[in-house]
Amino acid sequence: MFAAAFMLPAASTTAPAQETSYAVTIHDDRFEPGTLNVKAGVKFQLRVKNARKVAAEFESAELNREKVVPPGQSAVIYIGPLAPGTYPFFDDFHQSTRGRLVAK
Amino acid sequence: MLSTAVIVFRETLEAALVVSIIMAATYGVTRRGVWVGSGVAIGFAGACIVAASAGAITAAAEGIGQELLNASILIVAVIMLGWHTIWMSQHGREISREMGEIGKAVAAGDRPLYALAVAAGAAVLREGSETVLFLYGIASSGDDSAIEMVAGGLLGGVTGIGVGLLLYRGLLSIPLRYLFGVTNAMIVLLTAGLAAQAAGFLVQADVIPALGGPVWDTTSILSEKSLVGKVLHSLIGYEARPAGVQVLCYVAVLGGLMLLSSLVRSKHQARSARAGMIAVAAAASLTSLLWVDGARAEFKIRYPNIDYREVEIEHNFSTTFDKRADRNRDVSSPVEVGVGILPFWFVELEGEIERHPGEKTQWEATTFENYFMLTEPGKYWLDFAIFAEFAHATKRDDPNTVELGLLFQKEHMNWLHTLNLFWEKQLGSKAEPIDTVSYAWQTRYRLNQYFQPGIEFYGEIEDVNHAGRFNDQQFRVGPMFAGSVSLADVFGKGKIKYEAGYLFGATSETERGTLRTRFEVEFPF
Repeated sequence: MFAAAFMLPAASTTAPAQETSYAVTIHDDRFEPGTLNVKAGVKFQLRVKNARKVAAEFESAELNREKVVPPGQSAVIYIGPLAPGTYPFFDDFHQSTRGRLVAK
Repeated sequence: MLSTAVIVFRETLEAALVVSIIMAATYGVTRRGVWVGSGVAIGFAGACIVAASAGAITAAAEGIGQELLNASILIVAVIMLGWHTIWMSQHGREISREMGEIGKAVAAGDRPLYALAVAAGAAVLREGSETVLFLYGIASSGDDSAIEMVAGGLLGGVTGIGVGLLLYRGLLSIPLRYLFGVTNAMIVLLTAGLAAQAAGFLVQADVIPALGGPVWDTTSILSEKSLVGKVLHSLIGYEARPAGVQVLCYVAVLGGLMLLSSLVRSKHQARSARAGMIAVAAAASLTSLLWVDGARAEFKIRYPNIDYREVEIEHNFSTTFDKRADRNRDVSSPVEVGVGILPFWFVELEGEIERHPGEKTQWEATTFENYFMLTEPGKYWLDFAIFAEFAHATKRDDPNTVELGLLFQKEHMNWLHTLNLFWEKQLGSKAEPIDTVSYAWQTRYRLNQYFQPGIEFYGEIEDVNHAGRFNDQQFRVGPMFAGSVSLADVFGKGKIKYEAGYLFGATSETERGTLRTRFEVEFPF
């Protein structure tokens, strides 16, 4: 219905979605932060910024996630809800660059 | 150099395995090399384009463009391989019998080689874009080691293709009598695996729910990163930590293809390609049901032609993408049941199920819709119908509404143009004194029954007495496709219709992107 769009303008502007969000930046030699603490049991958004001059791929077998991040850009990845534990991740294009995510 | 080689090897291997299976499955078919080769070449060209536009793709659809693209590519591959599987379940036996008797290649007639060409292209496109991006990054970094690393990339690529060739040679050593049975089974497993991968990307984008965290965790036994894990991931869709919905999609596609293959085989109908599309449509419907996520406006063109003595069940889905949180993921997912009760009168009852950002999924309104067809289709220069609807709001504070519309349609050769104009008024004490006008246009080309690409736009003026500038109004425009599949082969009657489109917001009042789908089952009575 086109109608609904106009019947509910108040409803669609009052309560923006409350999303838990974390951020991690890929530098030439490391992730910043190298250990990211997140809340266990809730779905969250991870913003991955690539500060390198070349493309990177955020990847984690433990999280079952992979995503290419072009140089200088940020990408959004949805993760979880996670069980408490440690989840390593790395840059698939530069495999010595590693970090980990700790869900508590 | 070695690390580069390893990375490129892994990406190339996945695509190479898919292409080898396809090549083995088409052994003996004339001109298959041209078809599959073109698919691979186009896929590679596409991969370069995707890599070059990686920045724009990553930023598209509020950061989930990459996932949507990857999922779309994989779904195309699933559709094509599914279609081919159904086709082979009818003709495969004839082909292998003839080959066994005559002992030489036979032309496979109308075998859908293009389906396999597209699937091969999709595999190359999907894996190739990441590789190209990776190599380009190295090449452009200006490092001293750049040349060495590019050499490593080449080494990895060649090795990946080599392993693919080994698989191909291995498959060809199977006696011809069994070859197609084996390749068909491999393609079914491959298809199910690709469907699970597509679901994985949609979960990562938060478009569909995960339906449970990892169903199992076999990382310690067989990591997906290991060579064996990677090969199994490519061939049969092995996942070390799958989400619930991935397992569900895998089982649904595997079961659906096996069921349809046996149905087609037992009935032995001529037009079995349709059955493949039914499988696809069923999978699409399953996916849309998973989208419980709940849109606001319903984006669909209303057609003036009525199906008398027909029952229709319809599901429409739309979701928005925008940087503004209060406009992102505004989902509408209405379900309708309609009946053509008179030759010129069609009635529909609709439940408007919606989910606005930050809210729960809700049944917003129940609507009663009427179509009055005033011209006999095709009799005059223009087909014309009147649309009238009453919407009863579920919540007390929301007003009921009445909407009137004019629906026009013009057929010209293979082109179909449809125009909708609507006027809407709110009723009762809660009503705002405004007149809302909306309009929609669609032009599509009827390529064939299954695939009709087109373009469409939707505009609305919230209060026509204070219309404001165009930029204050809503306007969306974008590509779409529609198609239908007959259910006559399976149920003796009926039809499935489907549509999908992506709309770009053209004004600042409009969400930047809107994805819409429509799925409909029709049965005459």
